[in-house]
Amino acid sequence: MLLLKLAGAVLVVGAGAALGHAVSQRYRQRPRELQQFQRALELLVTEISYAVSPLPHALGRAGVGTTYPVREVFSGAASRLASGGLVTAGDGWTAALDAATPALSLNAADLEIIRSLGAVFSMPGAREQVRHLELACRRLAQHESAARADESRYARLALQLGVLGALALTIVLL
Amino acid sequence: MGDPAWLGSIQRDVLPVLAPPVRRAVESWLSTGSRAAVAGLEELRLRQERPLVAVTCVGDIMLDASGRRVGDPGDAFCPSATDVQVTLQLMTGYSLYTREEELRSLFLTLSGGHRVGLAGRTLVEGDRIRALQHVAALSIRLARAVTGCATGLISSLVVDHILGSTLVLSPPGAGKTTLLRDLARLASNGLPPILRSSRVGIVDERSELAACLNGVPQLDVGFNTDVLDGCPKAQGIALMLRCLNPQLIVTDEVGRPEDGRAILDAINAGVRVLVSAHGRDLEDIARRPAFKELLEHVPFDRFVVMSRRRGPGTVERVTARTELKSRAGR
Repeated sequence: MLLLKLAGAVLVVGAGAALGHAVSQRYRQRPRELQQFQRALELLVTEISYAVSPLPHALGRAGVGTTYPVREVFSGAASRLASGGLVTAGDGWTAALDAATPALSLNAADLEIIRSLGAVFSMPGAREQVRHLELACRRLAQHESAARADESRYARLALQLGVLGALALTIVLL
Repeated sequence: MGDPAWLGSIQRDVLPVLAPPVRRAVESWLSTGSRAAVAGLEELRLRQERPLVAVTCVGDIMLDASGRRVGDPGDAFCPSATDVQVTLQLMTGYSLYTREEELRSLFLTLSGGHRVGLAGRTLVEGDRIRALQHVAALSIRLARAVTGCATGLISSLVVDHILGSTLVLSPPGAGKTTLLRDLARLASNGLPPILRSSRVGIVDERSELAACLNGVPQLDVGFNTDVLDGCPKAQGIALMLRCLNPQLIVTDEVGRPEDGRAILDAINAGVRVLVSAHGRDLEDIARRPAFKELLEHVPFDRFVVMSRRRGPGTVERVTARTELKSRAGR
């Protein structure tokens, strides 16, 4: 009986720690992903305004310096546009973002900024597109500062809360 | 049903860049429409909220959503704003910004040399169009290389076994570009024993003559031909003279005074020119500033006047310079 209780306690503490770790990881990943999106968008601005690369190629190039899952958004949009059959460039971007969203650690406000870029890709002029991309970069930078503050405040706390909460639950159950 | 290569080009280069509802209507009409109309298809007109029209040699035909010919505009398929925007996105590979210069000039060139004229709301900065803000209509003019169409005419244009400097005149849509392309091909390849091969330089400002894709001509303009694609005519003629040592310079739709001066420079440099211009006859274009100075010197050996009287490509008359001078003397 005691052995069974001990095993149950270990399982509860393990599950709590895993949950705390997962929440903590989301806090740690969010600023990194926001930073990667900014870098990629800066590269995209260069591709559009200086290299004048076609959008599928420009998106592919912009995503090269990023890692999973941010890379999935750029490469996914690039391959969807290159294969054709879509209605607008925005559709390709939105579809790629939707596919990558479960793996991203971003919140709804972050995703809204990134989603809004779909409409920018349908604009006729490079000047207008670059202006909107730069604005999106600035907004993402603001979100990144807030995300870094959240990370330092809550990342460790979430991990500790997971372990301690599970311990408290174990004591109550025992 | 028409030239298979030309229909193949429409299926390969035009249909995939049409919004799906427009594509379905056109595709269906191409396979079920009357043979004469399909074979004589010249343009497709997509106007937002107005009937889809196929311009053919037998007249303008309104199409419904299933590609059937209709007589009442109320029964015709009217492309929506989304259809027009989607078509524009597909035509530019979802990259409108890469075609900004063309959009500012209110046209796009598709692979295969098909030209798309644009209409809508323009944004003007100073005296220059900065952007086309709302595109509401697309006119897809289908390029058709009619190889051999100039062969019957060539003997009347040759001077000392080389194509003489020639001005081709006609109102829009009479086949000037097609004739110019075939003349350039003949001048480049030569046609023994009438015509010797020449080094030909084409200044193709609107990418219609050679229909270049990444600088490579998609239509047959001869083996001995260099093309400056997308280059303004006056600048291109000067560059051709300086860099490519042509014996014949070919350019389409001359209209600005600087074009006229560049042509005169080329002729004075000993190069022959083959150019076209909009106009019904010589008197018509003599009133235009671009030609005033040019025609005072009468630098052309031949003048070709075309019309649509018996369909596109009708040559009304060929006038030699000597004939013109003797007429002026009288």
